[in-house]
This record gives sequence, C-alpha cells and structure tokens, in this order.
Amino acid sequence: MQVRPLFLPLVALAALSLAGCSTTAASPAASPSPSATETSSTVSVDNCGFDLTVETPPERIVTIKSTSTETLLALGLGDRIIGTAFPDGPVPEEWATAAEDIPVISDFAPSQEAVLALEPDFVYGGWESNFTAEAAGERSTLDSLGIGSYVSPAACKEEGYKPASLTFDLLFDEIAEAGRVFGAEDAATQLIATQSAQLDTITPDDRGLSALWYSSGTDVPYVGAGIGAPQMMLDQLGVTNVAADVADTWSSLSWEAIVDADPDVIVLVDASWNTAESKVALLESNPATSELTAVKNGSYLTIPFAAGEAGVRNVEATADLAAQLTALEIP
Amino acid sequence: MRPTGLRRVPASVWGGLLAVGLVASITFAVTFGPADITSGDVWASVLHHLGIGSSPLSPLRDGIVWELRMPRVITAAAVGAGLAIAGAVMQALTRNSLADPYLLGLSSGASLGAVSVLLLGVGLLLPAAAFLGALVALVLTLLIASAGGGITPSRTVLAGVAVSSLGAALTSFIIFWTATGDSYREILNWLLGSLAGADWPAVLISVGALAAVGIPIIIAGRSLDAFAFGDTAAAALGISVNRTRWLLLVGTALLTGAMVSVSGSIGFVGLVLPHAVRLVVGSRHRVLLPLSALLGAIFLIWCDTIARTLFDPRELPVGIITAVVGGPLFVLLLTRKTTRV
Amino acid sequence: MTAGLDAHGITVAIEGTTVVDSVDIAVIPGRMTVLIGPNGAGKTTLMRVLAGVSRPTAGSVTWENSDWFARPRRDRAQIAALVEQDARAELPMSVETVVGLGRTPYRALFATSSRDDDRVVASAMASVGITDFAHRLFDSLSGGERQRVHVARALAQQPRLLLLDEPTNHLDVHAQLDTLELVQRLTRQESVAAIAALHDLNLAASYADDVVVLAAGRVVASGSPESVLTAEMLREVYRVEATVLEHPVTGRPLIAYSPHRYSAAP
Repeated sequence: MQVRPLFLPLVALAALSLAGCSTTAASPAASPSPSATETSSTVSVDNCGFDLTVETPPERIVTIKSTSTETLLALGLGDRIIGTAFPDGPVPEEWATAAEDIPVISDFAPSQEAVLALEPDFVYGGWESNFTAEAAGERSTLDSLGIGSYVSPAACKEEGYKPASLTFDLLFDEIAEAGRVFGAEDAATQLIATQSAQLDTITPDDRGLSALWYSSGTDVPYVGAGIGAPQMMLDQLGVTNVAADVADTWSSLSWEAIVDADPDVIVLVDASWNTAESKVALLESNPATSELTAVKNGSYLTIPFAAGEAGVRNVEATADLAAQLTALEIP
Repeated sequence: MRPTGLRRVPASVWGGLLAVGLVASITFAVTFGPADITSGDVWASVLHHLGIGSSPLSPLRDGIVWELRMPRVITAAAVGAGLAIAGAVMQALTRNSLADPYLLGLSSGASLGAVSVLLLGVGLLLPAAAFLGALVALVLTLLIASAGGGITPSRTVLAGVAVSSLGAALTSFIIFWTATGDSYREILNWLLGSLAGADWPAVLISVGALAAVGIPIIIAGRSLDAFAFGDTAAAALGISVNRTRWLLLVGTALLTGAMVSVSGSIGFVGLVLPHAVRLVVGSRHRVLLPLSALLGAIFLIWCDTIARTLFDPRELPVGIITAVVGGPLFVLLLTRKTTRV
Repeated sequence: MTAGLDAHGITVAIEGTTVVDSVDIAVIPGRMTVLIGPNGAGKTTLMRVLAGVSRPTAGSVTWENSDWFARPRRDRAQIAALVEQDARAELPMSVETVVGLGRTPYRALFATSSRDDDRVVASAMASVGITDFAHRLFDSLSGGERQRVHVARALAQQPRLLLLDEPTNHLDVHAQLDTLELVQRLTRQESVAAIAALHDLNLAASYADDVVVLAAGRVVASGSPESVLTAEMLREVYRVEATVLEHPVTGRPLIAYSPHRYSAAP
C-alpha cells in the first residue's frame, strides 16, 4: 500500500534529520559556567543536559565533525587528537601541518567499535546525534567505559540549552568552556582575546544592504535563517538577512519569497557536495532567479561550509566576508 | 427506488461543475503566494504572456508569476489528474479498493532513480532517472508476478509489495551511506512529493503525459467495468482480457512514472479521490475516470497552494498536505460506505 | 434438429492433469441441458470451454455449424452469456450498473448507454424480480440476491446460448424454482439454448430436457432424465444408495436417498 514502501527511506531521513544541520549556541540561561571546583583540576559542566566531570585534561581525544577538530587545533591541542571523523571540509591552512598526522577514521559518523578501537579517553562531537548507539555510542555508555564526552553547546537541541539567538559573546563563552574542559584555559583566554580583537576591526557595512545566505537546495533552497551562526555573522557585517524573521538556525524557504525580497548580495556556502559554482549556475539558469539583482550583477560572497557552522572559524570567516563585501560594487 | 439527493444529479452536470471548478482553481491559485502581488496584476501579467496587453510588473515580479507560480499550478493540475486516473485504473485492475498508482513498485523505483542522481551523482536528469527507475521496477514486478504460474491480480500486488520493499531498502541504504551535510533535505522533499521545482519543462512533461497517455487510458478504461467480477466474467462479456489489462497496466505505469518524475511520490491523490468520486457517481469507469481526473487536478492545485503559503516564507512538501487532508478523508469515505450508492 | 452448440472430443489439460477428457456434448435451442456430476468432475472447466471463454486442448466446438472459436470475442459475447458462481464486486457498484455490464458486448468504444440499453436492463431486472434493488450497492445484497443479479446480467446480454454454473447454490427453494423456471421459459418461448450445471439432482430431474453426467472429466451417461437418473448411476457415480420414484404431480423422476451408513431403525 501507499505507506509501506516510503516508510523505510523516511525513517532513514528521520534518523538523519535528528542529526540536524543546524547549530545553536547555549542560551544565556544555560551559558557555560564553571561550577564551584574544589581542586583546580576537576571540571564539572552541564553539557546539553549531561553532567560532565573531568578530573584530568584528556590526552587521547577523538573528534567528530570539523568544528570540534578546529576548536582543539585553535587551542593548540592538536597533538592530543588521536583520530577524527565526519569532516565537513579540509582543515584551514594555519593548522594544516598540525592536522597532517591525524587519522581520519570515517568520512561519516563513525561506529562505536571504530572509536573504541583507538582507545580514547574522550570524544568531542559536533552534533548531539554523534552520540547515539549507531554512531560513537551513548554518552552514558562511554562514561561507564571511562571515556568522557562533550558536544558543542551551540548544537544542543533541548529547551533550555538551545539558544534564543547566537552571538559572538556566546561563542566566546563556548571557547572558554572548551578551554576548561580540555585543560587549556590560558590558550582559550588568548584565543578569545585574539578573536575579539579581530572582531573589533570588522566595521559593519553602511550601505544598508540585504543578503541571502544560500546553503543548499535546488527546488527548495535551504538558507541561513534568524537565530544561528549565519545571522550572527550577517549582523556583524551590517547586512540584513532576508530570512531574519524565520525563528530557526537554518530553514527551507520558497524561491518566491526570495525573489520578492530581492537581496542585494548572496552569500554562497561552498561545500564539496554542493559547490558555490553549482549554486551560481542554478541561480542563473532558473528563469525566475536569473532576474535577481544580485544574480545579474554577480554580487556573490563565498564561505566554506565548515566556517559557516558555529565554531572557532566564524570570526575569521566574517572578516573574510567583510573584505569580499567591501570589494563588491553594489549599484 | 429512485436515487436520492446527490445521486440524482447526472454525471454530466458534475463534469461541467468540475471543469468550471478547475478553471476557477487555476485562475485563483495563481494569485496566492508569499510575494504580495494583487490579483489584478497577476492576471494582467498572465494575459501579457498569452499575448494580450502588457505586464504591469517589474521583470523580477513578473518572473514570480510566470516562471514560478504559473507552471507550478498547471503542473499540479496535470499531476493531480494523472495520479487520480492511475489510481482508479489500478483499483479496477487489481479489484482492490486500497490500490494506488504506486502499487507496482513504481514509486520506490522512481525514488531509487532520484536518489541515484541526487546523492550518487549519476549523470542523468532527475526526471529521466526517476522515470527509468519506475519502469525498471514495473518490469521487475511483472517478471516476479509471472514466475511460476500465471499472472493474476493478487500475485501482481504481492510482487509489487516485494519490489517496493526492495526499492525502499536500497534507497534507505544509499541515503544512510552518502547523505552529507544537508543534502538529505532534497531527498526528503522528493520522497514526500513536492511541486517546488515545477518549471515550464515540467509542465511539458506532465501535460504531455496526460494528453498522450492519460486520455487514451480514459477511453480504454471504459472496459474496466467488465473486470469487476474477474477475468472469466470479463472474457465472457467479450473483452480481450489480457490485451486490455496489459495496455492499461503499461499505460498507467507510464503515466505514473512521468508524473512521479516531476513531482516525486505524492501520496493519497490516486488512492482517495477515485473513492470520493465513486461515492457520488458510482463505479462506471466511463464516468469515474474523467471526473476523477478533474477532481484530482483541483485537489492537488489547492493542496500545493496550501503547501507553499501556510508557513510563508517557508515551504512544505505538498505530499505532507495531501497526507494530512487525504488520510482522514479516506477514513471518512471508507466508513461512509453505506448501502446507498 | 436445429444446430445450437455442438462440441466434439473436448479435452482440457491443465498443468499436466486432464480435467476434461474427450467430451461430446450438444446444447440445443429450445431445450435445457443439465450437467451433473460430483465435485471436481470438470463441470466448470467444460462450461468455460462451451462459453467460449477458454480454449480446449483438443476438440472442436461449433455454433450453428460454424467454428465457435473462429468468431470474434465480441460476437461470442453477444450470443453466449455465462453465469458463474457468485463473486463479489470488491468495488462499490450499484445493482443497475452490474446488470448494465451485460450490455458491454453491444457497446462501441465511444458509445454511451442508449435508451435501448436501459430498456433491456430494466426488462432483465424485471424478469428476475430485482427491480427494487436497482440502486442498492451490489455487495450489500445477500448471496441469493447477488446470484439473481448475475442472472439478470446474463439476460441483459440477450443471449441465444445461456450457460449457468451452479446458479441455484445460494438461493432458497422459492428462488431456486423461480430461476429454473425462468430458464425453462426462455428455452420454450425464445428458443434459447440453455445448459446449467446443477448440484441438486431432483431439480435436474424436474427441469432438464437432457441430462449429461460428468465424472472424472468424462461423460458417463447422457439422455433423458428418466434414462440417466437411475439407482445404478447414483451408486456408481455418487456412491449413494437411492430409490428413484415417480413425482406424483410432474411424472418426472424423484430421487429418494437412503441413509448412508446407519440403518433407519433406532
């Protein structure tokens, strides 16, 4: 009958969609704060509803998703990563040498066995779904094996942990917490200082421009919406997000709404599975979107996929976008 | 006992009403959408493209009307009509009121084709791959059904279930294996059925299929009445059972395959609408098929309009709306199956 | 003797088993032939061959002295009407629509039902006494009522040859007699050639002009009811003990069955 044949693929998709592509930051209420620690080395954190206690800084870390890897590399902890999985793109140049020797154990979510085979003492995941039985393993299971686990607070989905709206301050709080959890507090403080300084140099554009953050999708575009990393970066750029009213991190949007809004600038997310060039080709070939001002003028900005997810690359990416924006002549 | 109430209205009157309803639906559905364009401007734009007068809209907004909304509404009409016809024919051929157009593994075959293009990067156009997948599934179903004994309606249905499961399993496997980042969203839209990508080439495919295959099916479908009591009775009434069944089966598969290739597998249209029509005009296929086509067209136009405006500026796949509306409607129709015809 | 349907040497083999074996049988206009025999004797298979619905493995069938199977299917359907054992419609159909199916062989591809068709359908329903059911849902009727609708459908075909496979199975006695009397009337008044497969031997005795006994695919006896329905035949073919009496009113054979294993005395 009708339902049965579709059931399997839909279940597959439901499972995948739980993985979610959206990243969020910890809400102010659940902002990562160190609980009172008696000794300076024990760290207790409420991470996405899971009580994490770290006695000594982890030495053998497996990272899942680019944001986790990059955070550790940014904190100078690259030598403690014994394996990584599910990368979203190549590691940025500045850390490339440090990342050279790290084995990639899987292009997708790794199996529990593959992770355990490396004998880690910690798993750092980018999405909550990385910690299911089908992936690296339930956090409680890992805990009973003596393996700590940590999820980027930005990716928490539960009420109370999901942020109302991501800001750079919340992002920096995350870096600080990561510093505490991984025993690199000084490095974290320094990283935050560097990034804050860089952030201050970014002047918002004053031309009153609007933008579309185009992530993927052909028939129905998937765009950066109102409360996630894209909105945070567009705000810093001084550009209005055409999807700002949609209360989600990323969302599907109709082409009609986009054409109606006629954004001045289009930010193209560049991923290996969906390149910026292919998006441009699509925009130009679709008879409705080919009339968009931004398409006719070629007013495009590009950002690599991994840099668009909430993480340590956002500040750099925003600076880069700002530079691209300044170079653009918008009639 | 004379027919009472609705049943007293002759089928031709219903046909006329539905035809008018279809034209009205197209005319008004085009005026709905996230962009704020007045109805008058919409119609002026359409007329302009039909050669009458000039468009009051900027090229961009004109594009919204003529490149986004218009082909989408027309495709919705054609797909709705095609699926309703296919559903009615499948129900008659298999003598099963729970049959739908996708019974012979067509939708899971098409899904496999679509997923191959969307995720494996197979170098075919999406509609072509979907259509090809549907046909392969059909051939497989018929081969299995005819293996070891004659091909009968019940064996065909069971073979279709087997092929559907196989197709669904392979599709799931490919999704799990390769879906990265947010690429799974495209598959989801396709599996649920979506008219979001309907452009003028899609209009060509869907309307073309309806004209080339749908209309002959409506004509040949008149003999479907004779199948009501099985093959022997149909043969005794002078029908060439095998030839008629094969022609209708292949025709329906082609029609469904073409529709699925442009819109994904939209559910409940082919299953529910023939029942709704039967409730009012009975099972004579000479009347059932054309009226189902008209009602199917109107139904899908409005389901799609809801899908693209309900959560403006976000869009839902139309398959969700047809399921939400069609599911309860189906239950209602089944329970209303009283002695009155 | 007018021609009617003449079948010679009919053999039907299905998947290696011979179901019908060298059967000679004739169905003559103006007469009702009744086919009897135990279950599995091949009656239904034979009826389908005679109706022109399935082809025999061997043998010839002629209608009015010309090859039956050489005629186009539609022509055969305008001549012969087959009523098989009850089937449900599975899809909602009105009684009127079901009876209207009988007009299928007469309808051209684009034709709508004509006034003529409506008249024939109405008359068919009246003959069988189901006019009141015209707008009821077919599947909502009782088994007996559905059977009568099937007969009406056959009548709507305006057949010259009427074939009925166990038409009286679900009917009460009144309806059984009604149906067989209707068939008899058709043979007498319209010179229809009729053949009916019946279970009830007494009904066969009462209404048949000719009786043919089929056992294991072969004709083991044929002729008038009196000559065929004998105690020896019943013992050999049906393995029952019976006494054949004479019906006090009709003069036809009347079969009284003796108890099978137990004696009458307590």
